[in-house]
Amino acid sequence: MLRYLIRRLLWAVLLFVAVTIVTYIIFYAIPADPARLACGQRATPECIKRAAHYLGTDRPLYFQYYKFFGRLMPFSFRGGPHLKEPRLGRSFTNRQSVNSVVAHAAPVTASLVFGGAVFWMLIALPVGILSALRPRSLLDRIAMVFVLVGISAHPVWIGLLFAYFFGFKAGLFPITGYSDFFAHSGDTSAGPVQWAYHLVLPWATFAILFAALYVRMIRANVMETLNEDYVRTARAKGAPEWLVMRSHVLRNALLPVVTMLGMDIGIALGGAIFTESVYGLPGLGKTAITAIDSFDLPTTQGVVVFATLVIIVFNLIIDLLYAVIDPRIRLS
Amino acid sequence: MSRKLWLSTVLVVIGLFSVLAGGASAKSSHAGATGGTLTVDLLSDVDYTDPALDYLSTGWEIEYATCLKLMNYPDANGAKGAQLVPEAAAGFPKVSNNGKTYDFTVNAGFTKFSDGSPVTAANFKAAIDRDADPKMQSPAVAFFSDIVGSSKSPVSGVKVKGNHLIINLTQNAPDFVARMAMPFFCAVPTNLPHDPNGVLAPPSAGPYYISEHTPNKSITVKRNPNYKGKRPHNLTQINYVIGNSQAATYLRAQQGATDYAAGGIPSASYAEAASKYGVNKAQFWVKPQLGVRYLAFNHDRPEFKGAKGALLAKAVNYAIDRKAILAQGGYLGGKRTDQILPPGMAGFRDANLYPLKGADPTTAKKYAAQSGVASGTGIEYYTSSTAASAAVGQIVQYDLKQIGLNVNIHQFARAVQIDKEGTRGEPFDITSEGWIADYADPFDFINVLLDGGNLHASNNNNVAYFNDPAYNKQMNSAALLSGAPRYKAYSNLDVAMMHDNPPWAATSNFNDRILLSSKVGCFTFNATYSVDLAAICLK
Amino acid sequence: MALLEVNDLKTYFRTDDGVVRAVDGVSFSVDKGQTLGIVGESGSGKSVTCLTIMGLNSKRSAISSGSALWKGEDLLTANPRRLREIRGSEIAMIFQDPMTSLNPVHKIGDQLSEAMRLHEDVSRKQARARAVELLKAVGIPRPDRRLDDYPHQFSGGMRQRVMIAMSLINNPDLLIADEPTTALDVTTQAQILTLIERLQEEFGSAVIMITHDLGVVAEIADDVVVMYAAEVAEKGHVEQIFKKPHHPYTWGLMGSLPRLDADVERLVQIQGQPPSMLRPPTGCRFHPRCPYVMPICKEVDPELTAVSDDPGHLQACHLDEETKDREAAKLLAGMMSGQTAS
Repeated sequence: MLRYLIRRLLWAVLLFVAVTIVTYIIFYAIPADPARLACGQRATPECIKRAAHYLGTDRPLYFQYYKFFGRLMPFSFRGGPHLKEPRLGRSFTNRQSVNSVVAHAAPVTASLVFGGAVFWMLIALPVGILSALRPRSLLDRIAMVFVLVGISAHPVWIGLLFAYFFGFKAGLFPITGYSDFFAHSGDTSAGPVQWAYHLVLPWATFAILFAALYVRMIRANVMETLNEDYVRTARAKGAPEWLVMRSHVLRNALLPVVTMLGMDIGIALGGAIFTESVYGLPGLGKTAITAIDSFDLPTTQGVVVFATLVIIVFNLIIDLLYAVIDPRIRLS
Repeated sequence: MSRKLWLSTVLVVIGLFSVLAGGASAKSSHAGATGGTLTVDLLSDVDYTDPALDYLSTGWEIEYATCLKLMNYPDANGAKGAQLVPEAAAGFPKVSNNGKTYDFTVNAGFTKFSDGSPVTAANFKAAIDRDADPKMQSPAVAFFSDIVGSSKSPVSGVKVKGNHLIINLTQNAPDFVARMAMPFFCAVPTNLPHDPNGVLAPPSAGPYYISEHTPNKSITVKRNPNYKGKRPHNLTQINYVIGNSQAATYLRAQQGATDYAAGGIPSASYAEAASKYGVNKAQFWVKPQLGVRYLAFNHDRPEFKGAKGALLAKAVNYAIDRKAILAQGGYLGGKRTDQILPPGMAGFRDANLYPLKGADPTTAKKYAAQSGVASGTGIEYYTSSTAASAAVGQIVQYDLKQIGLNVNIHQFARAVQIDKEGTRGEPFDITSEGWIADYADPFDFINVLLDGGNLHASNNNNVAYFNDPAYNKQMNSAALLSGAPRYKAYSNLDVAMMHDNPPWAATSNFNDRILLSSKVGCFTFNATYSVDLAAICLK
Repeated sequence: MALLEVNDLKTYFRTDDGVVRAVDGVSFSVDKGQTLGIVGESGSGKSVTCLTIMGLNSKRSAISSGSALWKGEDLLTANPRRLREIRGSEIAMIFQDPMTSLNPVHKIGDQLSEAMRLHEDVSRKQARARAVELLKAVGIPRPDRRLDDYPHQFSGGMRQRVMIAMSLINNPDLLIADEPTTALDVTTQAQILTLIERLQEEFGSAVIMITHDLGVVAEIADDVVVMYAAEVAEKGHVEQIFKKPHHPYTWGLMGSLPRLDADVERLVQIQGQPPSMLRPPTGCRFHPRCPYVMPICKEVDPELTAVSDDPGHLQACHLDEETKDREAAKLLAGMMSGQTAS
């Protein structure tokens, strides 16, 4: 178990370094000068020179990466080994601390992704199971049409439709926007109710693709499991149908769903980009898009670092969880 | 100005400086009720709310409402709003020492900073010292480098004597007062930290102040309780909501969820907005900006070099279809032009040089033949990666084919295009560019974009690499003139260059297209700062 | 009265390609404590017959007719609740593949006690005690320590022992064993068969042994049903079948018995593949593969009729007695030499 953990962590570090280096190289390969951008339209040579020095872009790439990595490490050997706060640097475009940029954006994306995950599981579980139990029924056929639409339709398109019909035409929900979960003092426009109210359409938009994928997966898993010999064994023992479903079919059919959920976190973070853009949610995806647009390497890198960490941690948690719920997996 | 704007190239949404004429029809009935909260949708955040760093048109709209300046533009439509008047200064500065010393008398008893501290001459010196501090990395350095000792903070050429602010320049600069009206130089508390990361909500002495700025999310602007001056301040509060897409903003403006689409609406929706609300009636306003789109000819390349090159440049000016090119910017996106200076800029004189209604291939062929360019010559054309830029590229490709030139279109991300075309020796013949005035003076177009004495190895603004010693000399002397002779000199330069030796083919001037909600009762469009937030009132 | 009496049992499946006649008029009976062997190739309908009796076919696609009288009560028409009561307690079943027949995510002990607690109101502790007892009976070493193990921690043979323990936990009157040894290696096969035989005596259960291996039948069955293409080809007491098999298909099965004297030529080989039950052959369903095929075989499906001089022995073949006598004798002669050699 310990060895497994250590091996996983080493892999995570390697992956992390690889991802961040690649981001640096991609940025370096693009022949745009952040210092020039920082000085604006009427950029003077002295402003550009100064900006390049401030941004660190006048140093070789490996040195920039070294500085980046040094800032990010939670310890330092300068003036004796000691712990320090890991820092992601400052944005090229507005010089904000990327730590605080990410800290502000992450809760928004978390609200969207986890709320969305609950949303899609609420759709996918009952629909997937019922259509597996009643293949070719009307429900199953409707579900399969939903799957086809959900997989084919782009979230931006769905988002625009929802915003137009439910937000603009019907006025049921805000067209766009985000409201904090925790209200500041005296701010009545925030709070859990407003938070959820603003997120209903984003959740639905975000959930459709995954709900479709999960309906299909759950349906297939349940149908496959229904044909397993041990399910026949359970019936042969005289187990009532609900018990067969709960204890023998679902328990096994939903095991892979747990892993999928863990693996899909990465994809979900990617998908959040679209939903956040359509609904103007100030989350990680929107931050990344804006940062890439304006060649803001530290902010882009900050989002990449954070997303990578989240994905690594999630996969680890899911692996450990899987070992707990599936006795066949032994972490040795 | 508006670096973002400049970044996002041709499809400009909002501008800072705009035309003096044409603004006259905007209603500015101050009859509306005072109070209320205005909601503004912004596509993406302003880069800074710190006046020393803010260099974005949308940011300058906020600065206009919050900043107290020595000289300012009045809250008025049309020509009136384009005339500089004293604000914190008691009157126009006394100029002495051959135009090298400016003496401002500061008299700002009518206001205090939002934190309660009084405004004195020292607050204006504090602003310049802050801009000049190398640590601050302020883009303002481009606009006061002619002050004595400007490379160090405190700046030795700026002195406070009682209520006088005395500024010494290294040379005569008639556009100095206009530059001092930029938000970079607005009063700041003397203890405002020189924080290179910018202060998010600095105290200000104008009618409003920024009470909160959460980057990428929101900006809250509130009425300055200590302001007793004459500028309007109807609204209690202005809330900027950042990050809504243009499509969403359009819906929100129709629904009344937002009152001002500061980030614009989808360019395909302008026609609908115009037919729904009418143009310049109540909710949808179209105002010209001080900006120009142009195709720059690379004069380092054999095709555009020398007298023969000038003939080919003329040929291209005749060959292109400006109407078709402008149509790619969306409905009411601008006005066709064939000159460097935009209408509305002092010194602009309409000269009727090239066909604006469409291409004139016959004349174009004549000049092309005279230039001796071989049929089938390849022309490397740089532009940005947007769909509209590609469409413009194809139109140019077709038009130049008529005079025997084969245009090869190269598209780049906007920032990459800027970097490439700004590097001397980059193998392009024509690049598609745009420019918006930093401040209302022809120097910002003629000298900044076309002075050949100012070419570098990289990061050039003069992407035509235009370097004509005679014109260089005329530009430099024009810059030292003031008043009517200055504008006449620039006017002559504009027309002469475009007629005899065109550095570019100018295609159009930008329009500012503004959509408001039905709740907005009064609206003033300032020629210099665009939407006047301080003068807005709600019904 | 027989413990189980199956009459003219038919089970058809609806599929996309049409109706599959998986069981097409099968009758047999099992007496208390007796062992019935059902033998045939895979696809002959022997497993479906038993699943139909247990009510374990998919309700969505299977249609059954006929009757299966369990102690006089028709299982085909019994309500689901009653059927559940019978399943696992009165009739238990073990399956071909022990590797997949146990639920991988539940502990062995839990799966065993579940089988008991579904039918008897006993405490968890009592159920576990009974489970240990059963595991011991099927020969699992240190059973008390293995209750908390998961199926993947057992070998195939051990898992089949667990399955057997699970099926016997409620002392069933009838144990249906569906090819219980097919997936196991030869030594384990023998052990499992011996175990079933021993436990049958110990628990007094009747057994239906489904197999494709006549050798297994010869070893443990009292009565034999030979199935071919959803129908009964021949049935009778084990001695009747082995002494004088009447159906060319049975001969084929016998010819397929493992032989150690490879130099003795096999007398009968079954050529070809079992027919598709979507469109079974006309006439005698075995005729396309039968070496003794006659014109009548292609037209008329032979009735299952009693062998005249052998009461209780039924067969369905058009061949005349003389040919049958001759061929059976030839086959048996070959078999005997094989048997002796082993």
